[in-house]
Amino acid sequence: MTVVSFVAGTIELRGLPREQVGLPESCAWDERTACHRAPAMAYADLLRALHRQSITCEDEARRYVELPHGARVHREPREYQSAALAAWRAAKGRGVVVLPTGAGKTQVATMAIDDKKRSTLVVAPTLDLVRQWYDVLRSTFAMPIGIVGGGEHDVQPITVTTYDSAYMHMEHLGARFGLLVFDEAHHLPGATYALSARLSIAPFRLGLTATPERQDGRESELDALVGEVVYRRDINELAGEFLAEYETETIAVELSPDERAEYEAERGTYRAFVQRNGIRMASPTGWSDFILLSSRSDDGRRAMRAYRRQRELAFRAPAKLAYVEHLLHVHRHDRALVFTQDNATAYDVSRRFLVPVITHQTKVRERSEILQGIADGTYSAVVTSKVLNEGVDVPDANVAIVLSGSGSVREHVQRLGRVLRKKGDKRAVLYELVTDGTGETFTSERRREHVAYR
Amino acid sequence: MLTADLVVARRRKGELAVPPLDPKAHARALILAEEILGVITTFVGESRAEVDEALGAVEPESRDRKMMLGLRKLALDGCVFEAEASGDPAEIRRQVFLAAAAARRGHHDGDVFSREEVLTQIASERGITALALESALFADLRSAHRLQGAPAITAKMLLEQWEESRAQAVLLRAVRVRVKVHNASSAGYRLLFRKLKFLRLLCNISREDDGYTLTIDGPYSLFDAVTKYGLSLALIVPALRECDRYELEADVRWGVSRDAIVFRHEGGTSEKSDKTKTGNETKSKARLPEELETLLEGLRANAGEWTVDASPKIVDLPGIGVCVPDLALVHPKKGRVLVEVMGYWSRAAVWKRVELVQQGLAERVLFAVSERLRVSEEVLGDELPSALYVYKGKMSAKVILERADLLASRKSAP
Repeated sequence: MTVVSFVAGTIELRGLPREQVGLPESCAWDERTACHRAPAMAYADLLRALHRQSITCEDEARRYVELPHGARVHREPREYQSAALAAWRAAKGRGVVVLPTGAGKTQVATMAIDDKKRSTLVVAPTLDLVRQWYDVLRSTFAMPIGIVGGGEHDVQPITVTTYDSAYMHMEHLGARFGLLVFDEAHHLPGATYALSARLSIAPFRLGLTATPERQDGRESELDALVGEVVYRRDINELAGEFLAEYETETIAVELSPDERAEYEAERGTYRAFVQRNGIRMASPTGWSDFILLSSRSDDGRRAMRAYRRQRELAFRAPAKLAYVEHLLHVHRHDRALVFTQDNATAYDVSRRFLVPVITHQTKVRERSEILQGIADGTYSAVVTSKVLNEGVDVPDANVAIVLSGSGSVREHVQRLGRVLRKKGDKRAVLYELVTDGTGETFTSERRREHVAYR
Repeated sequence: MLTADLVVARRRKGELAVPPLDPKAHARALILAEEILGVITTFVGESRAEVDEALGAVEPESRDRKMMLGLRKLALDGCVFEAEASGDPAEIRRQVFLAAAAARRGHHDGDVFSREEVLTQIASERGITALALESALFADLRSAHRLQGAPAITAKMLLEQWEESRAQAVLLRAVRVRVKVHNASSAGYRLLFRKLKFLRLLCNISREDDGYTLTIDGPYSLFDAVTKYGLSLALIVPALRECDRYELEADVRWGVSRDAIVFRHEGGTSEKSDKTKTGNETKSKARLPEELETLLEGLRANAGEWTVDASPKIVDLPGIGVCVPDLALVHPKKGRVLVEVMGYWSRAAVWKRVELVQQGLAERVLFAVSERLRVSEEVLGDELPSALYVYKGKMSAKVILERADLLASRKSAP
């Protein structure tokens, strides 16, 4: 009897001779256990191959089920959401859908789950997003929704988890889901997270992202892990039509003479080290070269400290913080999100302006109270570092203040997306506070190259 | 446990090692460990941020920096930090932020927001000073947690802990481990195989002149060299340390660029006993359980043409399981019969052996089982190469030799 079983993220095939031909390419003979073995991802291919050769087998691997029922709530899909689902179905239920933040990627996923009606695992980058998916899925499907991650481990036919937990637990969970949904799927390529896709038998896979492009160029790996891009709409094609219009305003803040002098001195130390060691910061490996070399000598560590200090001066310049107070005053009847580069700055802003702060350390209850307060207008502002970065729903926010940020294009589009939600005729505005004549100006210019600014 | 990036390892000729510290470095490390523990003891009751800052003042020479970070990590791992109970910070925040939001909303153009006003107002409502209110605002943050007590270890102990955990931390980045293991008794092997099974690792086993070589990785390793099993591989180190002797060779992905490099490390209880030699008896001999020692004497006295070899064997049936017999009886004409003493520790283990034999174990093994496990000898049929010997009280050397003769007469010898 030929038996197919799921073992720790792989498929074991027992009962066929070692010389068996016609098995998928990824299937290999394993001396250690005297059986054929394949990555769990090859499950569907393997079953098809056995079927082609009329080999009957006992399938002990598959542990996912048909959902007891489909969606209980149906929202009228937008034209592009229906088109995205049709394209994904045409690709045999595998592929990546690219839509701008705020365009309703979540609904594409609920439609896909409703279409396949198979046990589904949704993988999202942060615990905030996990919570948000949890809410949407529970209200849409009217069944208990599982959560794995953040101290919880409750597996249900529809379960939400983080990329980290998926990597850690897929060895055990890999056979229990027939559909995988990767939210912000650009996180998936890369040595660790990609394994979570490989250790699962799910025949159906859906990737969602606003920006599949990665700075390391590994987005092509998504083809094998999830499927090719089956549908794509860029922000320009949807803004105005379905998304709120927005404007951006860049404010350059000057350093005080003392700060300027310190900034120049620290920057000089760091630049000198970089030049002396022939590091080209503009090259793709520039930053990691710098980290590597700076950790090897006192000189290098001084350069790293100098780099941090000059960046801190530029990001946390007092004049910049003073301008924030002005903006909070101007927008005291709006709903503003203040973004900072790091948690320390986020807490500084919270202490100084007495506005609520959300970071990864914020407990679930307090976090939802704050978000609720923003939604019902009790609070006019919330400050955060990066947790709200990707697709977390802050309903009706119409002001974003980017207090500091890296030059990463992806990060910025998603930040911008936060205020893009259409609400009546409300016009969203994004302020970007940069320190004049510092490295931040360059970062800001680089952002402008992205399509969102054109 | 140390993290991989905190390990001080030496690269030489394309290989990685964690050699013992030379006497000078050892002396410097001891001073660092003392300083670190000193700071921690002094700062009991202070916040994590303050402890961290104070520890930042322990600045060694450049070459000892990583060592200092590792010692610091291990020392802090032994510390307990807890949030100070000063009201409910989340509640205080809510009050303060709501008041601030209300104040701002009530402003007209030209008004200026006063932070102090809001803080003073809430502070007086709560009957505390504005300063106390400010410090309570984020008292629940990790960085604000207070150090409850210093770890109860000496600098020497901290340093030993550091030296030991280096090899383990290197394995966090391992994709595969090859380890040559030697044990004078089967207990060490059994512990190791139980550990491997528990950690869901797989291995290939090959016989060496003096012990066995195990090649250990995980199911998915067949397709790709992944560091996913790094933590599991690191967790076998304690079981290896229980072995008499091991020489480990691991393929690791090391450094920022994750270069493929071979890591070598060795150890075991016999090495330790060498170091701390007291003279009269080597540890390996002492490891044979008394019951087995007695049996061995009885067998040797009655052996006739059989010779008795007390070094443990590993019998592996890939895909089915592993068993580790305690003794080998070797006869010049009749061949080899293995003996595994199962005693009365696990009935389930006996059934696993039965299954192993029924699945085609190609060795002649006599499993000695106490009658307290209530297993019948008839479970294994006469046609099979292995048999059960159910004994009452103590094992009889004579019966074992008789059974060995019987088994040796069966056809399916290896």
